[in-house]
Amino acid sequence: MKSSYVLFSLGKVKYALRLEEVVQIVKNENILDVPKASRYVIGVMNLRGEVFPVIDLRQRFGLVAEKEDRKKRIIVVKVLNRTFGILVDDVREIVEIEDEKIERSVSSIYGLKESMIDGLVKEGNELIILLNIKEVIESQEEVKVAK
Amino acid sequence: MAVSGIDSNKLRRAFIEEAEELLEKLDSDLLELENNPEDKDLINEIFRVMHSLKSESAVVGFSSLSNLAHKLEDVFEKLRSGEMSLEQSKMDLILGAVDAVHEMIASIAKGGHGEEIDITEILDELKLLCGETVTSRLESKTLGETKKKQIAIEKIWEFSEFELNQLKEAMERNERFYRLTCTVDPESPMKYARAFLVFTNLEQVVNVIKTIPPFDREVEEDDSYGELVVYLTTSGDDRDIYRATEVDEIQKVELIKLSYDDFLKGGDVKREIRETAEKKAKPRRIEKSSIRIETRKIDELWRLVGELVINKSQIEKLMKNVLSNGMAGELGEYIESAIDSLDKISEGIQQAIMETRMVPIAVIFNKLPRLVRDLSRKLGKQVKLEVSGEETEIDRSIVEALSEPITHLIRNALDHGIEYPEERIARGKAVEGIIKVSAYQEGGNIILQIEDDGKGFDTERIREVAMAKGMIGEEEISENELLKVVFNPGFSTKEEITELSGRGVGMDVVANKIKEQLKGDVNLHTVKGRGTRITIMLPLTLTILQAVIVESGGKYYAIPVRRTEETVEIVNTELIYEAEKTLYNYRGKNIPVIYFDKLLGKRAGKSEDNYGVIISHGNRIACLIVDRLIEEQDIVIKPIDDILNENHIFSGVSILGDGKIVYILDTSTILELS
Repeated sequence: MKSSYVLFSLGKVKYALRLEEVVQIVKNENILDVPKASRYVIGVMNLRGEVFPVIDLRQRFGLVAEKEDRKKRIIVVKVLNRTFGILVDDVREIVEIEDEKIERSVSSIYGLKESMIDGLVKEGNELIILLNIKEVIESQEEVKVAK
Repeated sequence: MAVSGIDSNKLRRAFIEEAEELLEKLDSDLLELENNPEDKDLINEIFRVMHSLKSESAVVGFSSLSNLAHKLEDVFEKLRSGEMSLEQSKMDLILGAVDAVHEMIASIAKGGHGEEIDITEILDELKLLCGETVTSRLESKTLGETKKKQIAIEKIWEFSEFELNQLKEAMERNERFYRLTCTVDPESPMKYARAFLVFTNLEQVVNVIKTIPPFDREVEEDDSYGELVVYLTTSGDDRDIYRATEVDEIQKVELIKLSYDDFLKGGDVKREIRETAEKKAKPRRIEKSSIRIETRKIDELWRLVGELVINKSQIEKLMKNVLSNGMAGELGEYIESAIDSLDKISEGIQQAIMETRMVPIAVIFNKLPRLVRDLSRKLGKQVKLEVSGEETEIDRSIVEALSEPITHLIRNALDHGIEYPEERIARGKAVEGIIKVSAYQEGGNIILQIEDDGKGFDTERIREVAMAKGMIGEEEISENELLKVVFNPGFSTKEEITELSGRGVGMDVVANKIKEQLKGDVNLHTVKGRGTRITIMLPLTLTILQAVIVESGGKYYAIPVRRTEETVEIVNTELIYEAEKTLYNYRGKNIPVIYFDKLLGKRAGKSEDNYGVIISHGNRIACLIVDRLIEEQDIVIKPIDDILNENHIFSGVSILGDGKIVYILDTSTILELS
């Protein structure tokens, strides 16, 4: 069994989201900042009439901004009927990953808690983290990802 | 007929929708019938409902429900024909049976089959009512006059729409139509098995339309198969039919050729009765010719219309530029008129779709007579319910949320408002208490009133309790202000029921639901010893909002017009600065000032001339200072994800004509912060 994933990066670390969760990938434009929202919610955007929050994944993971914002991309995801934009450094490609290549029993890595990781994939000497995006959004826990 | 091969969930949903529609008016019809037991229109109407329910549930395979509806249909058939009259005891039984129907449908809606509800007793009682024997049916098995009559009635009434169609098709195929009656040896211990054998044999050689008793439901008592009646059509040899009946212990076989006309005309008779029943329905009943559309689809349409409206204003803006630059040349005039029509059309679509979302408030009001009847009987009070304005339309999305507070308020009025008969007599009031429920539209609001002529609230007791709870201070407050305390959370708890005569129990829940979920308001007016009136104000729709667009810190925000009193231009010198707060004199009263940019956690702007929006919600009022007033317009409310709104200062977002996102202010939270 193979599934498709959207591969993106944040600094030097590679992450992947399940393609079914992804609605669209858009440019980092037209975001209206939101007063008095939690720190890592940078604002809202309007995609075909639906207005939803955009979360800066760098801020969520306790990382400082490194790149010009306008070059970043927003991955629009839909989890349990809630839509979110996830601001990431770069969206690389859509890949197919064999299920058996995914290591499911993962303890925390780079400071990311176990519950936020769906699995790990080793490609050569590269490591891809399959993110549980729902948990990343909903968890109240502070995250500090190591550089 | 079991549900298979087709999407059974879809069928189930369709059935439930249909059933709920059928039962919608049943309760109020029944209660009306209780008052006018002779009303033939009503009896016809209820008969029709039961008949449809019987056939529909049989088609989907809910045989238990179908049986019950069948029995009720029988009862109303007898009432219709005048064979039976309607007394109180019968009414109670019928209402009980209808309750069971409701329960079964609720159970089916939850994924059951309706069989979870035990209806044996009710069925038996209904059968007794119809003059059937319950324990042993041996006697009725003899082909006496009554039985013949029963078959005669069944001839017309027993054939379902589906069966009639089958008949019609058989007629078109030029098949012959028979009724076959087989009698099983009364001594046989296995009548069902014998009858079933005949039935399966017949199915091989002819087209079986219907059997009595049927084989597609639960097995009835064995004795009921002592006589099997089969309606069949065939183009084959009659001898095949006789051969099929060559089964042990079958004593007598009777084959009678029937005329299609009698039966298909029976269908016409049925339709005719149905139609006259519909025609005669009293005009005040809200009849609707309709098709059923999933609300999901309407919601999607509604969302798209929102998009269309936004897109249209974008085009308008662009074309204005094009026109003012003279870029359009000779085409300008045409473009202008085309945009003009686009405007009209989109407005028309918006209006039409909004109307499809509206339902008469009767869907809530229809449940009330039964509630009042049952509760007043239970309490031993005499109460008359007067309902008006049931045709007032409300957004269907609020029906469910609104139903609960209304029922609660009626319960309160009955339980704690209306006095017992002897008390009313002692006070010189009419023995029968009156609860009035009314609805009407006023501007962009729906007004609902629930009024009783009971004992009213004891304001002195309210004052004492509120003071004891620290909800009000020592200072003198008006009765109006005092009554608002009743809606405060925790004002009245169950322990104080007797003390406070229970008034106000759960009022906070009611108020919360109306204010938070329905974005409305609730008001209380009471006169001790005379009665209480509760007024609920609701916005016409929860998705379109008339709003004042304001600018603060370079961004636009929307404030609901119904929460604003006025907009004013403010010079800083007009403001009254006190140690802790700033005040503004509005119509002779000093009200608090809220700097909007400060509220958003930004530095206060320095501009000399500001604008103030006087906002009010309930008894709170304040002046909200913004940079600029933009315009007043209708906006489409879009929900906001909780993650964006941890402080609840916004109630949603909207998109303006130019694609700009604006936040909609939640004035009640903002006022609480002041």
